[in-house]
Amino acid sequence: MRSGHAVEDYRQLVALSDNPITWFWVGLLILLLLALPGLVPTYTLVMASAVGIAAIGAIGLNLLTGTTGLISLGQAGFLAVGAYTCALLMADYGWPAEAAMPAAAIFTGLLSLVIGVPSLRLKGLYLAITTLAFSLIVTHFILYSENLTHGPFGVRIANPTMLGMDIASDVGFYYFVGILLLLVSLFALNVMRTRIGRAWIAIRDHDIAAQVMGINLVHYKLLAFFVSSSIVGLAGALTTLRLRFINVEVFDLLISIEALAMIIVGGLGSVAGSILGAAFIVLLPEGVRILLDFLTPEMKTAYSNYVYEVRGLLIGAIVIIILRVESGGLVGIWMKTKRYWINWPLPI
Amino acid sequence: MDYLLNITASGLVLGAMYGLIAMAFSVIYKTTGVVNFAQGEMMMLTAYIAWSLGMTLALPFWLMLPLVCVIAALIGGLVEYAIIRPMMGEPPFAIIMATMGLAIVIRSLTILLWGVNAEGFDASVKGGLLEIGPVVLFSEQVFALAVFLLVSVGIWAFMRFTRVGTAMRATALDESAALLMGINVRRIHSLAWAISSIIAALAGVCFALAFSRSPSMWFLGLQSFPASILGGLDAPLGSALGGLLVGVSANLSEGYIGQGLKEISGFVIIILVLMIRPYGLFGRRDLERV
Amino acid sequence: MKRTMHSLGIMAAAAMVWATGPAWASGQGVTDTEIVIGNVLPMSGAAAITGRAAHLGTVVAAAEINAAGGINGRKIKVVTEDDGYVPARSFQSLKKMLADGMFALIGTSGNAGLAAMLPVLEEEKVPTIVTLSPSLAAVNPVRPNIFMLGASYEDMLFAQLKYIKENRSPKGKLGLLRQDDDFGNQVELAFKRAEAELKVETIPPIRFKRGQSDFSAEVLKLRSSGIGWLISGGPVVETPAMMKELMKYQLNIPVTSVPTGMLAPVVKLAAATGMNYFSADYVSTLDSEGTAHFRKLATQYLSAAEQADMSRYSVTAYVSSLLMFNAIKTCGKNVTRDCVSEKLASNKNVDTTGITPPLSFGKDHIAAKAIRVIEVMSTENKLVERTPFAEY
Repeated sequence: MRSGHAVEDYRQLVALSDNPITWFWVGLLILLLLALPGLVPTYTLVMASAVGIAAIGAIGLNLLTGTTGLISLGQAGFLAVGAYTCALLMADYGWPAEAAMPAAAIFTGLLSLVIGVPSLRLKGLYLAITTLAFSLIVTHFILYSENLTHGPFGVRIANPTMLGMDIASDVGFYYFVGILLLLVSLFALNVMRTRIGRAWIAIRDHDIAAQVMGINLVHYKLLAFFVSSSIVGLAGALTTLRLRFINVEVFDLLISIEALAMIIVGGLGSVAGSILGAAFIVLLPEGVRILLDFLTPEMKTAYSNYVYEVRGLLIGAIVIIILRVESGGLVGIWMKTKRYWINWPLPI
Repeated sequence: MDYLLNITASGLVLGAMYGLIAMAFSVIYKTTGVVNFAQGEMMMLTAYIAWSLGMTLALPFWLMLPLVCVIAALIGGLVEYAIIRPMMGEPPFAIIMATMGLAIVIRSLTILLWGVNAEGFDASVKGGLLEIGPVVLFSEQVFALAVFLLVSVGIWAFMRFTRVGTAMRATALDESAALLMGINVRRIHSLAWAISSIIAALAGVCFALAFSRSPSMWFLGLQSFPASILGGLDAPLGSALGGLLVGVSANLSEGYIGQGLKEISGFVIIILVLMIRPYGLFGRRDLERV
Repeated sequence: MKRTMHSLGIMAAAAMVWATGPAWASGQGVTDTEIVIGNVLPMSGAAAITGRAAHLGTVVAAAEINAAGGINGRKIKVVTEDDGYVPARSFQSLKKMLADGMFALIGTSGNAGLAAMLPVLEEEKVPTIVTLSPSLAAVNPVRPNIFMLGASYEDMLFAQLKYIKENRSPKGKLGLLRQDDDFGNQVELAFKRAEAELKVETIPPIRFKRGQSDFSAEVLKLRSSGIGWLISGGPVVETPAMMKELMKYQLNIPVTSVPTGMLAPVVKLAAATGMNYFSADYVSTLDSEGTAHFRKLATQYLSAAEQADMSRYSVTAYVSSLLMFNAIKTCGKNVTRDCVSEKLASNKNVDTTGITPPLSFGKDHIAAKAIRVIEVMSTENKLVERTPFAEY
């Protein structure tokens, strides 16, 4: 156990991690995830893929909300744009998934600039409401532009392949989502330690001060929108590939709130937090179900009709508690625990 | 002409409900600088409580209404005391998200306690038809309009003429200065939450009477945002007027354009407003000093 | 560092080889003593009222057949997963049940949920009877293992329109207020068909957003165009909300609705407006002669609270279960998914204890296309059957 941490130069300060032990644990985790299909039933893989997609979406949102401080209630809208772009390109224009996915990501990013422009003048909750409005208008557009989007009928795609990999099977899709999650995480981690990432953090902490220091607000805010929404669009495209059918009901308004809950529970501005938070929120109904097994049979039947209400109750309560008690989220709790033991028996 | 008048009249009724909730938003925002994203849910909760008092306990309407106002004030005060006050000084994002967490909790709680089915709400003000020239309205719709007018005038008079109202405006203008002048800012904050909850409760009762009490009522809260932004979040009377404007324009866009524009017309309006006048029609432009 | 990366690579490759081997073989849901029948239904959330009722229908059917010794010695076990009416969760629930071992599917949630489940159902060849909400997309094109119980919304609404035209001679034009989703689209088909076949005057259809509660502008628009009868294209509480606006202008005109219009909460809300309206169904109503056998079973196998939750959805789920059990039975000892799908397609005139005329899935894989028009006497809380079963 190391007992102190001295950083000696800037290279070390901005490194992803200067600690071989961290690399060892990350490597072990990746190995475990690679071996997972041999260890667990397929349903666990299905859930793991769901967590992976949610985590990619949460990482995207976290770059915008956690890192740059621009609140977005439009997650459902951006997911829908990505999912529909991918689905329509594949179903109606015969694009392969390899091309449709990046196209969906880039298109979502470009469309987000429409919201990005007013955001240059808006702050905090005004932006939240604008993104909410954007989300509602996207749904409206999808429903009413039948010629382009199939309107209310939804879009179905054929079983997709990706670079020769069968991603229609549970195992194949699990690996595919896993690889993408790894790439997106590395990308986000690296962006945050560049000039761009530091500029975003400066904007979050005080935008006027950031401007005074020579950070071009227009440039960096729009970039944040583009990068974040592209990643969310990617998550949307993955939803399409997973379900092989989408319609507007898949992108309920509630998803936007759940996404925000993910990054708050996990930890604002943290990639690991996004992943932890996504896992937490997605797996909560399963957790509730396991807890129900400990109850008496009568209570179990009474509660099993309300699994999603109980889940809502828990999500809301946990969000409030985390905001009040430990605003760093799960990652914050982990850091504090670690620091406590590193410094033990001295106080932090 | 008959058509236009009737469409405008029912648009005004809808707008009155938007306006009430928009006022509830702005009373809190003006005094405390917080936006309560759980406003729609608190409205729903109080409407359900009102329904239980009126239908299950069969209290007469004139007794039920004040009782609901008292309960609403207590709920508002409690939320402020338990959730918002300890978070004062934290970034607005944290407070907004806390109210969103509260919103999810109330929504789930309502379904757990009352079930998912919509039910009608009967009361003595309900059921009559009133004809004013060519315009036909239900008596509960007229009731909603009356409540709207009374609350608007009441809020204006309260802010303008009473000691507490003046203290509230002072707090809104400059919190530290108000504190130095001997105003109990904490109490003013609690009061703002209580007043806002009462307004929301009245909106909820009007809505439940005119339609039904159902677990999707909370959506009215989101739909009232455009009204508040349009009128200015820090201007209660402006928000009220914004409500009427949004309600009428929603009905007119359905009546003359169609294409399902009714439910999103408000949001289209605010995107335009936010691009041109982000502080609303009647709001105060913020100057930020660093 | 380089060496660790190297060894990581080797281990990863080894893991890949291992993982692609035969992992957990998911059972087909049949053992020597048991057959698992699955439901993916909204047991919570806004549509829970339909899902819970449907669940009870399958439970009654299973209890009945198990009391008679099961099917060729195998007991039926019903497993229901809650999807909250969210398509992504329908997909997840189906995957879970398939992993746990499920043989056939009866509860199929809403249209979007079903659409999200279809690719998996096709791949796994799960014998499926679409029961909760009729969706033509499921059987068009015909898939070997997917069947549907019940006429389309189009037929059900057209039957009512035809009845009204012939018996109530409506004065004025036919109007349509429809939700702006897939469901609303199916409703509009009936409108178009009435326009073409019944030669009635119509007002251009009006769409509304899902979850809308205020219909003042829409009804005014209809009124100014001379409405004489109306198709309600709203699934649940929208119908009474429209009727309330109609009553405001004393327009006591015939209104048609889909079968959800007969659910107790809807009838209760409609009673406040004092208007009667129409609906249609392909099964006998829950309080009629046709469902006497089913009601007797329900009192025997369900608790009082469960009986109170029953509705027409319990009846349809019961009928679907009967058809499924019949197909399993004719497969004898050799119960495979392919055999059951084949028998579902080939078995003719299966008895449904009087709930419907005898049923067969024809070439189009749809059974119970015969419809009966029902008038909902809302103030008396009574459903009156107006026509005998007939195809439209």
